[in-house]
Amino acid sequence: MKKLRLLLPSEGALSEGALNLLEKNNISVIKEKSRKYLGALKGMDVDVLFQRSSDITEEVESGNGDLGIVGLDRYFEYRKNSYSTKVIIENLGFGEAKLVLACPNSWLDVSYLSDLSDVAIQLRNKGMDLRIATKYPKLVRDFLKQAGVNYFILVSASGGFEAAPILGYADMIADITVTGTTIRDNDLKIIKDGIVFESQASLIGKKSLIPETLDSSKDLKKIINQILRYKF
Amino acid sequence: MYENSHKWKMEKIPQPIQILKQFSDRDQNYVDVIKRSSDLVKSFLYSRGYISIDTPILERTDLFIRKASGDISSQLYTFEDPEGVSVSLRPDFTASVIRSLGNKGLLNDKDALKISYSGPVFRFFNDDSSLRQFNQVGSELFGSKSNNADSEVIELASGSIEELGLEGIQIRVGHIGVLLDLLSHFNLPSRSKLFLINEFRSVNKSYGLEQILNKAKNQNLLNGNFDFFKELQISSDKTNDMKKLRQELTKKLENKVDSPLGSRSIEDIRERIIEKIISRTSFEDFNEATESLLGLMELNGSLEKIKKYFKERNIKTNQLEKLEEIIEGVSEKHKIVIDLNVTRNLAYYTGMVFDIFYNNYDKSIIIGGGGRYDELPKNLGYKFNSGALGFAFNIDLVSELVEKK
Repeated sequence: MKKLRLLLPSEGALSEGALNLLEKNNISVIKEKSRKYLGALKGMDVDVLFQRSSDITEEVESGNGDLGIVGLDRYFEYRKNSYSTKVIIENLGFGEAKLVLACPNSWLDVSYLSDLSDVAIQLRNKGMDLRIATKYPKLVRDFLKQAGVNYFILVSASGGFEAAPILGYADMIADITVTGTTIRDNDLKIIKDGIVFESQASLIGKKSLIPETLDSSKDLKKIINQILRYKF
Repeated sequence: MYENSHKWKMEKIPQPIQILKQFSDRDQNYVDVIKRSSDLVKSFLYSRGYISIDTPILERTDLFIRKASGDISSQLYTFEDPEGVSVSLRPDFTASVIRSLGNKGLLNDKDALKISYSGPVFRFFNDDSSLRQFNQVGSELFGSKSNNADSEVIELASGSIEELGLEGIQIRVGHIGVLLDLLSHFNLPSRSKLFLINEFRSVNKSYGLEQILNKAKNQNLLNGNFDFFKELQISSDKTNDMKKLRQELTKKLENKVDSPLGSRSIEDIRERIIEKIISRTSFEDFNEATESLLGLMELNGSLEKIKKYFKERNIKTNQLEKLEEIIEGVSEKHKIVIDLNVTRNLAYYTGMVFDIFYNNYDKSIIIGGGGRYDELPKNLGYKFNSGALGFAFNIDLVSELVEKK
């Protein structure tokens, strides 16, 4: 019989949080010793696959998984459409992080988004563009447009790109921060109204597997059992 | 034998694939109509000296983003090609045409260039009624800043549609320079001006002064912040003597700025601080500017009244004369209505702009448009400053309207 596939983050704070959450809900994960990335939920028809958190959204969307625990920021950034997956529980109570815009400390005239749109115009008049390095182009673009910042170029970034302004390949960054320390250490400051997205860990799933009547206020075990009864 | 056929019967046939949402399959009649229509328009344009070119449907994403400065990026079909390059389906032709001419070294300030094009464009409209692929036909004129060129483009647009047999179109012509001249009368930073001109497009019965002011408040346009006063220890009473202030700021900034500046310079920061101090937008100024714009709108249709409006307020503008000359230069004036609400994307339109309207069963629909975008080649990285303008229309829509008649 086909089993429900739950995708869990394989590393980092989200992975730890997800395992703690399952434990709190009296669900134990049995890990297969020989294969590091496979497991199962004890006593339930559920297989567990450990995946990179950046891949989970896509894997659920493409049907390689049925449920997943992901950061909500990554979910909205990486999902390709709004009809094949949905958020079942928006806040699982861990993995809080903010996607923020930060500019060089030396930009004394800049504190708010309204300043940024001025700076963008000023650069435009010099024939340049405001360059923002980010791993979240979709969320950042939508946010800046809403905020009335019209002239900008998003530079795709990977790894520790807080140094992008120092290295010179971007003027600003939009990145995930928990404490803000890395941003300050790199001579950057957070734009005061520049919180692009407030994220935390969420449970997502394939829309076709989720019964309309699902009561997502119930505990995790009950939710998974409801889904199992519906399609499996 | 029996076993095999049994097995075959048991095999599951996969679900058939459906066409993408908001796309359409076309039959032969349709294909013929579109081809005939495009050919008609292109030979009309050719008779006016416009040569036809074609560019790839797929381009680097940057080309379109730079053109639109983020504005239409949400409508772009963007993906990574197998080499990992971010590419997009063209949402229109203008940027591709400029790139193509620029790459060939043809964008120089010597020769005027007249180009026509036709083909499919792709836009991700997030609604259930608009097709996401349609055919555009249009032209570009490079190398003229004269008002005659503006008149020519309006005439070409009108003539092309007439060539297809669609009668009764109306061309609503606006001018961004007129609005900027009106706004220059008020003490507003350029961002507020851009904001107001953009908002102007949305004005209707239920969206007016109150809504615009609220949105401006939300975008932090009405109260500047002056955090740097404290940080640089400038007392606000020093802001009366600009020369002194500039000197003091230069000194203080040089001491203060010890981290990277990105693309900006110390002068950029100093000048912006000064501009911020000078153009502290008071609520009254903003309110008055908005009211004047809204007042101007009520005069749409009458150039005389608009002129009088500027004169009464003692606001100088030569853009109105330009607009008048442009309209004078069009032979079929009865099709033209002055409508200063026609504004379009300010990221690159600089002067005259127009929308082509058609009354389809009492419902007025836009079938195309155009305008002047002198700054666009520069924004795309080409040293060309001799004027650029053009028009385009949706040939599927126009052909359908002609067939329906």
